[in-house]
Amino acid sequence: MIVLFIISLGLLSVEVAGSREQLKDEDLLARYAKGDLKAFEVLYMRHRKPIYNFILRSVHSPERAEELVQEVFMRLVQNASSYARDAKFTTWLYTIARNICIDTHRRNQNRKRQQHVSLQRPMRGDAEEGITLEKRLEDPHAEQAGEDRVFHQQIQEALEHAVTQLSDEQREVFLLRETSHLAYQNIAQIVGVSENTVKSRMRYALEHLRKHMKSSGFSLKDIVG
Amino acid sequence: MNCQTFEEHYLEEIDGLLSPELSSQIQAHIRSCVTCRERYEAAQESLLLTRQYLVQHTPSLALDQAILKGAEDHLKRLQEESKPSKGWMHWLGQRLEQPSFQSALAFSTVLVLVGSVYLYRFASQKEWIAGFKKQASGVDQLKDMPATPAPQKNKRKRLQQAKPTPNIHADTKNNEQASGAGGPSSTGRFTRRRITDTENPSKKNTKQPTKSPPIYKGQEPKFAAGKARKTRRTRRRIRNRYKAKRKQRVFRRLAARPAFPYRNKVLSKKRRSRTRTLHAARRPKIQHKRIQPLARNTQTITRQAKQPATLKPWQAAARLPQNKPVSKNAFKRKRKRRRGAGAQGRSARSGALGLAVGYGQVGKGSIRSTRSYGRRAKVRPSNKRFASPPPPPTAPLHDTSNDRSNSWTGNPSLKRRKVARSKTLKKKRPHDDLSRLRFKETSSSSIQHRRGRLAGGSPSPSVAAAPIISQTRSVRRQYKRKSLVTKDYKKAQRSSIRIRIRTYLKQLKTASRSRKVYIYRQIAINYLNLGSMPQARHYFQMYIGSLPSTIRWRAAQDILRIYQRKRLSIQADTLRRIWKRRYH
Repeated sequence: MIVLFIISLGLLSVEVAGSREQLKDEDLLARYAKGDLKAFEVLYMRHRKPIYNFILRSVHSPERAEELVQEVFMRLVQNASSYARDAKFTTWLYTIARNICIDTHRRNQNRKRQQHVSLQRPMRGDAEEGITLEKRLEDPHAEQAGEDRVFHQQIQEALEHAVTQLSDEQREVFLLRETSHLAYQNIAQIVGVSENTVKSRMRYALEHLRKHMKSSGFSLKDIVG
Repeated sequence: MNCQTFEEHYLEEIDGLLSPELSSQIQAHIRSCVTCRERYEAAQESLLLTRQYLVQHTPSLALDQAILKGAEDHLKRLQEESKPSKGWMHWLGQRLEQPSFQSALAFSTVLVLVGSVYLYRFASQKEWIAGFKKQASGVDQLKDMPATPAPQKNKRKRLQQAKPTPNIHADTKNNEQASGAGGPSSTGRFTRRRITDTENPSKKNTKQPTKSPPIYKGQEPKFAAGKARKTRRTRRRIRNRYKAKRKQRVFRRLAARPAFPYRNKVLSKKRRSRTRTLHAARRPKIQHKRIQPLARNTQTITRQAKQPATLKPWQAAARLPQNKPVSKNAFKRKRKRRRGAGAQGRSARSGALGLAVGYGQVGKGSIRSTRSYGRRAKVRPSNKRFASPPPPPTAPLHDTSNDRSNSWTGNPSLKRRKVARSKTLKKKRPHDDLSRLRFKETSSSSIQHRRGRLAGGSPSPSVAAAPIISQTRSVRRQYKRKSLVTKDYKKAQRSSIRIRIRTYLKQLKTASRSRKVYIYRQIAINYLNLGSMPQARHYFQMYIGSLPSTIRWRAAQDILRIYQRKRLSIQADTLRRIWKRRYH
């Protein structure tokens, strides 16, 4: 009997965990507001990467980006009980993130922008995969994995640079669409403009990227080819 | 499909978000339009490039931990806050930590203490409490007096009580044996008697709550002084009781009066007297009554009756009982008449003098001012001519010619000098005498008589104005002083009113609602006293406005009464304006 009871409990817990994964963002937040910490974990894991990338490409600093991500999620936690389901959760979350980014940008506007190259910052890609500049200086032969890999790295760097060269309006639309995979309608709600404006900004952003890549010596036909 | 529509939708077409119908239309347009096709292909390449090569960075694990911990802490805090309270003790403990609650508690405690003391004192005036106290603490006091038990309605009960119990009976028997008195009397009442230890040896060893001192032969009992003290106390108590009754009577009377409630205040003695004084200042009738004896002394009389020629003018004025002070308006009227008759120069001056008198009467409302007048009036003029005692009257009072001659019979040199002076005066200014006469003698008949005589060209020596001149000058001097005092007084009075208004305005900031009503009314009245009507009206409006709508009509009545009391006529429309401006 006891064994059966334990098994049933285990099954139930697995089912609950599975059900959490399947729940919508809004439901997860509601669960957290009622005291379910696991629901928040699921929610966080679902959105941490896109949010981080969005903020990182807005503030151009991983440390600052981490701080801001923390701030965004703390605001989310504090206002979880007062969240009304009028808007979509992602819209709400990205509105918070965007407002925080704008505030930070305003705060730093008068300061002299200093682009510190962090030694610990990954030169590209994921932190696990990317090789830091420090490592590279220690071991200059660490990255000798073939021409393709070098080519890819160059494309990534060029693309990153092209993204930073975008205007703020275009960049936020581009990032919301390409990194966070939001629909144009939601982006329009977040940015506070019409859907057509969002599409227009996206078109311009793509054109700008294309031009920048061309000027960097990369033909898109060859790359995508 | 045109190029514009294509532009709107081609990005969605690349993502595959369009409906098949729209998608086919776009494909058709791409096939037909070269520019759109190129644009479409460029966008497609760019998107493919970004999706292939744009790196997704991952936040550090430390960030994950920090965020998850923060969420957990917040959840715990929420759960703690949502826990039910631990009861009223917990609540009280929490509240006691707050300084505002502490002060409130202290204040309420003080309030309760003060209230209880007040209630105790108030209740002590009640008869039953007094009786109870008497019964409780006046055992010693009653020991020596014949006590009568309280009258009881039930006769049988009374008889049962009167019937002594065996022990009591034994005691009374002992008492009877010892002193031959006490116990039930022939009338059926108990007569209590002080039983000393010497008289009742059986009680020597028994415990007594109060041990009275032994009384020796030829010595008065010590409680005699105590008795006297008690009597005084009792008297005081009775006095207090009477006071309380009087107070109640006053309250009852005030309650019966259909006046405005804020007026029904029992004023303190000091304030009562002050109010009376102020009222006296405002009411001319009372002024006359008060000024009369002083007026006699100070020669503020303009209407002068016939007087013995030998008396000095102020003495004569003081002795005459029928002297009446002339009111300001009456004097003005006379002055107007005099001026109308063509009197100039000195008569005008006399008019000014009379005006000063009039103001003196108006401003004398305060007792203080009249007193000062009295004091000043006693100061005699420094003219040495008046130093000698006047001779007895030798001529009839009505004979003015004799007046002049007889008044200075005691001093022939002076007479001579005066007559000479009058002659010179007469030569220079023949009309002066007339004007002086006019001033001096306000009786119109005598003036006419004299004027006729003068006009007839027979200058009588009786019109020699020397004494009149001297009198007029001295009086004028006095009046000048008085007028100055009067002006100062008036000035002071106005400034005091202003100060009072200022004080009220200061009080207004912190006053309670009911107090505000009173203050508005007082400010309005003070402005009325100052004569600034718009301000008065404004504050009357405030006064009405600060009251509940149900009793505003009473306030309006009150305002009307105030105006009437000030002898001011309030126009119906003004009152209506006050009443209707805001509230209707």
